[in-house]
Amino acid sequence: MPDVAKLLDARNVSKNFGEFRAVAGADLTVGEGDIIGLIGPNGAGKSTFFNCLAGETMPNTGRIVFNGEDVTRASPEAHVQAGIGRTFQVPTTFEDMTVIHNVMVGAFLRHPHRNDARDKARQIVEMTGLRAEQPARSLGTPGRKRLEIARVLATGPRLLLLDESLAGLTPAELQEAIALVRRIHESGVTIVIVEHIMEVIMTLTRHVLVFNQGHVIASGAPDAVVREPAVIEAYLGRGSSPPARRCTLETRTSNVTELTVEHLEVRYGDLVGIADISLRVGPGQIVALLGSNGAGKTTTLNAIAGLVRPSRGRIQWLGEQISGQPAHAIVSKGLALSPEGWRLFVGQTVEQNLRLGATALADRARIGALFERVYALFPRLAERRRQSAGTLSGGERQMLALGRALMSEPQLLMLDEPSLGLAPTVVEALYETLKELHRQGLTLLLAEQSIPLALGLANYAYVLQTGRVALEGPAAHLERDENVQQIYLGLSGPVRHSAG
Amino acid sequence: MKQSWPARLPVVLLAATLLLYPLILPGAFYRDIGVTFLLAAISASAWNIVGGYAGQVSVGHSMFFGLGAYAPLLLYTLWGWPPMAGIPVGIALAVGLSLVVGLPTFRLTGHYFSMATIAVAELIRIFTGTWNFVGAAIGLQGPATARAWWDLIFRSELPYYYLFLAVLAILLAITSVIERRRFGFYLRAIKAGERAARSLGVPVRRTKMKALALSAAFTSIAGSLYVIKTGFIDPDSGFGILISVQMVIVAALGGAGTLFGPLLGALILIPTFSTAASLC
Amino acid sequence: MVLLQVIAGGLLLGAVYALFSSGLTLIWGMMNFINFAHGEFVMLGMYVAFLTVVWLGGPAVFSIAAALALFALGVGVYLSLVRHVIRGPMLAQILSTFGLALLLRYTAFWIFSANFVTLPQTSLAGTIRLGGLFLPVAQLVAGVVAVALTLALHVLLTRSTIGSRLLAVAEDRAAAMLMGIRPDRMQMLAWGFSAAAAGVAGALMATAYPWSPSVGETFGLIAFIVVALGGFGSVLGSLYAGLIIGLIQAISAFWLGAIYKDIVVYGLFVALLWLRPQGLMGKA
Repeated sequence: MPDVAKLLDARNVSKNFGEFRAVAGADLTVGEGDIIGLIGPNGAGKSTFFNCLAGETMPNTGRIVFNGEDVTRASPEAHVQAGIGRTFQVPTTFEDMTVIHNVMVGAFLRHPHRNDARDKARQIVEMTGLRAEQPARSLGTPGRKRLEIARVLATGPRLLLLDESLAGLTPAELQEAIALVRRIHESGVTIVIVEHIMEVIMTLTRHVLVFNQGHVIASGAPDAVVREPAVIEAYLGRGSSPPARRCTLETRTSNVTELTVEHLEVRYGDLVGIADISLRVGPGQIVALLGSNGAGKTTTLNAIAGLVRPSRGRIQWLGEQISGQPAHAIVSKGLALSPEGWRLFVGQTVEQNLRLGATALADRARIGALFERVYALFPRLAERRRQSAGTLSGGERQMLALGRALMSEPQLLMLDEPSLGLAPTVVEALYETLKELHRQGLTLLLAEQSIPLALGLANYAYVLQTGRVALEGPAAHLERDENVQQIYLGLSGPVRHSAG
Repeated sequence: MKQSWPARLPVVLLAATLLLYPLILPGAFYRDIGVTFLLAAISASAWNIVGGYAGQVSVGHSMFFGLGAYAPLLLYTLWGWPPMAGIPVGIALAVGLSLVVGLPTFRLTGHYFSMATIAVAELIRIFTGTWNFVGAAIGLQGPATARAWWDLIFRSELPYYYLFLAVLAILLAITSVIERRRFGFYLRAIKAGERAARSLGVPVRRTKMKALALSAAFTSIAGSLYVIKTGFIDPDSGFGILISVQMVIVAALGGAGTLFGPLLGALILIPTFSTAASLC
Repeated sequence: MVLLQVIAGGLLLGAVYALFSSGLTLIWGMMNFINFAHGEFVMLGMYVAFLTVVWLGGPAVFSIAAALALFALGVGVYLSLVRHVIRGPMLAQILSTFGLALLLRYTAFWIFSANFVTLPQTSLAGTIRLGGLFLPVAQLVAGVVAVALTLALHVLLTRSTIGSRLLAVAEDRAAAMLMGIRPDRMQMLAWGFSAAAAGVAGALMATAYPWSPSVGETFGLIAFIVVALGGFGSVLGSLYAGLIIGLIQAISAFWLGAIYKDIVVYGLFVALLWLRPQGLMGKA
């Protein structure tokens, strides 16, 4: 029986970037008055899908019908005209203009005359609680996000696509933002919202779609969907094999630490990257940083490596204060980072990449020996040493990233999501290599989204949530702790620090 | 936007000063500076529409200036027409050129666009220098003496001064109106964030084209005014890159994207240049 | 036969174009920054050559002097000007190097006057006969050395450690920092090399062609055209494109007349921007 005509009907939408299938046959139906959530782990294709819906990206396949009109190939301007509005993940407010002028730009779409536009804009500014005459650039990030919403509201959309508009807010700001979205929904606007913050999804939406690897893997009511095994696996990751007997069941009894992080806070402008992180890594340990997307793992590692400057807190390495020092200084002290996504120099060869890794090496004579070590560890790299890094497979790129980090002969190696995007067999091999490196005396600190993988390797782990340490303890204990799963799925609400 | 009297005072004072200037400071030297200043202010204000408000930095606006400068003298050379009849012709040519140039280049990002404008202006300059029809490298001349009032050849600088002042006032009035209407908001939105503007339904391409056309028209008028006063044009004085650069510098100095910025920039730059030139 | 002569002359000049353009493409590719004063760097190289010959004499010395002097200038410009405007609005970037160009040009006018000068007779005088062609020695040497130096720059970038680090910074600044590379220093170095390439090219041209302070403007534009054709960031692309542009210029001058040669080249440039902004070998 055909149900009432849907407001938005997107079928079989696909988008490829070269060989990479960002979106692979995704469907989405939205009825008028719905408020639907779109969730999924990092790299699942949500943003690309959104861009297709908003007209910024043209899908390779599929059809998107809005209000009876085929908008698959329409321009962004046409989408807005038809009544689809969207916000951006990173606020793109018009900095040089005031709040009211920002909103007026949106209002002019349906109200070509200035006075009408201004009246409409005033209405909306009041509704969102902003101050009309304030310059956009003096707004904090929460204000900017609200302004973006206000601005697109002024275009009179029937469907509003919110792209992670509530990320990075403090708990109080978050509640305000949720209330705003609710008000908007009650005023008659249909909403589709992409979010990582489960609280938002749980409280606001009635229906949720879960994205993974470019298509929808589950859909239904929020609390039901989140318990589906497929969803849990998507978020927490597959374990490769049952965790092998750990060599050492080292708990944090030793007082010797190589790396100490105390009450670290990192802000991106007003956005809180991490709020309060403290951790310790002892010599010869393997420490894991767990947590879902946006929890603060990458920011923590970047802060330690010197890529971002902490606004508060201290980082101590081998007794020396390193917080605030630039990255090139830190790597020369024996602390190396293999960043998220590897960030290889794809325009250069394998050998050149490795050699670059040795830039910080004090004793240049060691380079030959280090090359040998890396090639012994990764024979495939040795075979491909003159090949451009861009031609390597995923697994080989991971090897190169690791090898490159090893070339600076670090004492502590940090890895940011090393298993991301790799096939299971490759991941197994990777973790074997990490074990081998550990045996050779390397201390490891790694951020992993996949719990079984990380806990199978690490001695000790910290579980991060919205920029804080929610849970910590020896890996063996955490493996059996149900709280971990709850934290990942956002089911445990605001965090209380548990006894580690 | 209705403003209260105190807020309007500076503008009124400015207008009064400009009106009375030639009477306060008589003498050829001062009047010459005044006329040069006004011309610079007009050119920069015209550039400001597309370069300041919309943020599309053209460094080849001399292409429009030159068209406006050549048209009057060409009509005079060919058929003896009074130069001012060339003003609408110049505008038409400039607007036409702006469409030809704007259409392909506005999809290029910032640097490319600026370079394209330089290249086109240079292209036109060199080409003009080879085309005998428009006087090649020698250029064109206007009437030596006035045949009637419409030749606009005055012995003193005073009439030119007030003519230019009138044009400047009109241009600023138009700009002020634009500022307050949807078109002006859209221009500023494009400058502040093209992607965001597009996501709000701003017709980016069309808006940029309109801005360029308007800017081209007024730049052409500036060229015509220049040639009406000096009575002579050649490829360098019409299409030279320094003309383009001056427009940009004057506008930027005083504040690109503001109503009176170019005026302010001209106020600072022109008297400085003129006095420096007279000292060397 | 005359055509062959023309072609040879065009290629030789094109080689020099390639050399100074490779400096511009290096900066552009590395920092996405346009140096509107690059033509003036070339012009200054010519004057440094002039001064060295007048004061010191000897053919080889002046190019080295030009290289060193301009390297220092490049580094100085980066430290004092570029480093500060690179994070600013586009308008500021454009104006800053434009302003620098004007400053350099008018200073040169003031010091050297607007007259065209040539280098006093050096050992590179005379013509040489190659096959059926008569080539001025100076032009031949200039062209050959230019090709060699451009290739050397390419090799430096792609095969040396320093070059590898420069390219790393160009590709991914943060990742380069994680290696222990200091992006600031690399960019400074790049500016030095860029200016030095321009300076040496100028010095080489000084042996073969007359010049005045006004040539900077023309060279600047030619550099843009070569870089646009060859691809932003590709030194090899600059080499091919430089040779092509030199060739087109020479043939246009031969067939259409000297005054038309620039029109053809600029027209080509404009067409290129329309049709293929990324050039022959650049990334889109």
